[in-house]
Amino acid sequence: MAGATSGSGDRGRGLHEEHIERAVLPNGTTVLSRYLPDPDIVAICIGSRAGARFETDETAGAAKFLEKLYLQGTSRRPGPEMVQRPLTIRGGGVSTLAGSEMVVFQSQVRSVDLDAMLDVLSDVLLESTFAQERIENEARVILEELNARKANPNVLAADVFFPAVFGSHPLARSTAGDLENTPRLTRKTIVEYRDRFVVGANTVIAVAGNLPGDQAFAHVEKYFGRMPTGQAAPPSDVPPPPPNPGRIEEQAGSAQARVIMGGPLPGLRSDDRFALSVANAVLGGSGFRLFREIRDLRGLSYDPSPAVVQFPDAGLWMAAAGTDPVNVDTVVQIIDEQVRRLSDEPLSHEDLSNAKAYLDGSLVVGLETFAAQTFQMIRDETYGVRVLSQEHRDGIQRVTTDDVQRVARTYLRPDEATLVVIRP
Amino acid sequence: MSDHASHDDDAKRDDLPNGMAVLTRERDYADVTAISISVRGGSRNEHDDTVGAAHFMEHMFFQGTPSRPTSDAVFGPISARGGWLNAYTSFENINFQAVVKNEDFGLALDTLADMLVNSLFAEDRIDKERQVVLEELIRGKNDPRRYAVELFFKNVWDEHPARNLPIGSRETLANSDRRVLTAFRDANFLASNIVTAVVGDQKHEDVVERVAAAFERMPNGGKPEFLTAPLPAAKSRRIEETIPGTQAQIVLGLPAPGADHADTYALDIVSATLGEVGRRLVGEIRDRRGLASSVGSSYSTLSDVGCWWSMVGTSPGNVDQVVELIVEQMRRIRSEPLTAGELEDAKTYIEGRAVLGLQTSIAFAQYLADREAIGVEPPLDEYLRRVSAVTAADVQRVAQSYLDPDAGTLVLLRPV
Repeated sequence: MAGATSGSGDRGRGLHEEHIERAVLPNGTTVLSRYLPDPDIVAICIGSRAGARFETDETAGAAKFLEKLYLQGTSRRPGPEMVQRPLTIRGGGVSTLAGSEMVVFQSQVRSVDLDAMLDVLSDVLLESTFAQERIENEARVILEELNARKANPNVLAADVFFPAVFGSHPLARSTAGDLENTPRLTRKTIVEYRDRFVVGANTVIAVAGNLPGDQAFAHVEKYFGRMPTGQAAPPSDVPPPPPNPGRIEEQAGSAQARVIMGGPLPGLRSDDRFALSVANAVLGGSGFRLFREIRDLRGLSYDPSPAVVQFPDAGLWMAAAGTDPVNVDTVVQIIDEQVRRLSDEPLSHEDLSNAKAYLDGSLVVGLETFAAQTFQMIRDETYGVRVLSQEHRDGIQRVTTDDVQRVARTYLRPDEATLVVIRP
Repeated sequence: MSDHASHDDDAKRDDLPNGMAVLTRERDYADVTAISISVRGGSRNEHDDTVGAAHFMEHMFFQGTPSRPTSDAVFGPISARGGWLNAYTSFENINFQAVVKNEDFGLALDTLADMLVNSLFAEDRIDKERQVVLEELIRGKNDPRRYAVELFFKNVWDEHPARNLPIGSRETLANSDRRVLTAFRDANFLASNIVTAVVGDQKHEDVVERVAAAFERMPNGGKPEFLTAPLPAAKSRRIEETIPGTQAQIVLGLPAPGADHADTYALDIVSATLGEVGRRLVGEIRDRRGLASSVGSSYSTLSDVGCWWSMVGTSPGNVDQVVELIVEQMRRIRSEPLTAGELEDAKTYIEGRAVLGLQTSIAFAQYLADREAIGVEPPLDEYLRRVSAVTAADVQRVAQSYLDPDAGTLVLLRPV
């Protein structure tokens, strides 16, 4: 076992990097462990650096296929019901998720069932058969999912907005599959994609809960040590796209319109992420500016909400709201005003300190479960940007009102924003 | 069945002098504390012409008190510490909740108590908030899956009061003025009709003392009347509507007993066998034929009524085949007893789910508060004992009693 650092397993308030032990298996797999004896549960999250951004026009939709096919059968468990049964009967299950930047496997059990969980997870990762007949079946399922996404205006709005902002950046590629290419993908293409990306050197396994670090490393080595080493995926370092100003209108839904405004951002590797997090908190989580102006003062929407979504090399900001179709222009105008206000007016010291305390506290509240903790652990490791580190906490604390105004002027520009409006 | 001593049901309970019940589960390992305050009374207790007033009223508790005069002042201090505050209104209770770091427990409790005891219900805020509730209403209609379930609930229970859904309609919300909202509040927001549950790194005695102080001025007045109604008969119905988009939605189900009935435990096993653990519906519809992206089996219970239902979204051309496949599985569970293995699988699933599903502090606090406020479901230990006593014959009998495919309520939303 190479590189195991000392770890404590001591009880801390929240999850910090110093609570995490780390090792690298001979096959290149990085293993992270957080030991806490209570509650008597163990969660595992496995992430490979794969996903839609690593697809080409020829392989578009391959990652979504992985999400489905990994649960469709192994040589020992030749069917989806046999894959799930050992964990379902213990109250849990195994789930997979293909995003832009990661393909993720998750499960959790009471610690007495640890071996059953590892047996299923390793079987799924290493022995899935990807049978031709399952590929044909899952292609139909993915097309049904794409249909369902179009029927829900909130989902459709995001599906229109993301590629419009990301333009020719690899992050523009949909994680939901591809209407034309999904049915065309062959078993050979999907298996090649899998064999390129789901390999030791490109995979992180995080374990949290009632399992001491040395035991976690030994268990993971026992079950995943034979995963081929392969190669790490190429680094994600494509600069963010330029803004794509304009208004896109589409029709969906029966009663309410949906508005999303936003534009590109630098990625997580940029130190501007700290000030952008504060700006986003002022619009939403702690400052409630959108909520106050749109919902609380005027009753125009139930769910006005801002977001900052960042990957290692690029990201985007957005402000979204559902509203009665007659109010669309008013809501757009208020979002515009509130985003501009971040550029025009320095934050009060109270706004700034509330946002910092919010960002600090929500990291504790949001990481209550072992499942949430393991997901954050693999995300930090895969992205190479550590939200759980002291450096990150210090970065947030150092943000000044000038910093927020500067990043707002640089990036949060309604005049250059992409606007998506979905109307019934 | 394995020993289930490891689960988390050893809540402590105290009743305050004003009649409020306080339940706690101390978790000395927890980083966060959850508070869940459950008030008995919901949409089933409303008048037909003002249905939705209970939910609308719940919104008004976030609109200001004398010492926290704006929504910002209510939400802000908790959010600025990374915590959150929320509420929901259901058929027979209303639940207010907060999750905060352990050290912010006092702040969250005082805020919730101030809201429940002192909210102003100002006229201008009521008119503004009615617009927000109307936005919530049309947001729900925009989601075809949600809309299909609402249509099913409105119809499956016939004349039972549960047919009144919490969200209401444009007309009933227009009828709900300040007098209607405060009448519902005054009838139900009584200390003896409220349960407060706290889960986190907090000592029971300390919690009881602080809740008693925070709610000292909560009005009291005994238990409001809560009318039960007989289980409605199953009737064959077909409700068809058109929706935009390219996918059809199917809900097929029937009325079934509520949580107060001895058959409820066998019905949990029926639903788990058709759904999550037995995968009978998902196996036939999704795994074998790729006809749908999601296939569900649910058994929902209120205190004196419930329903079993299956829900599938599929391409319009598959509708008849999917309905037939659901009906086939309903017939199968009525005609064929479960194998010993299938029965055991469903039982261990329900037991394991109780531990993993109640892991977060808020999930456990909410479970405790709602269970006590509604007052029908036994404690978790006893619930699991009753599930483990169910036999294959019980499962077949309840399927025969409640899953008659010829008496189903079918909701069908087809694209225009």
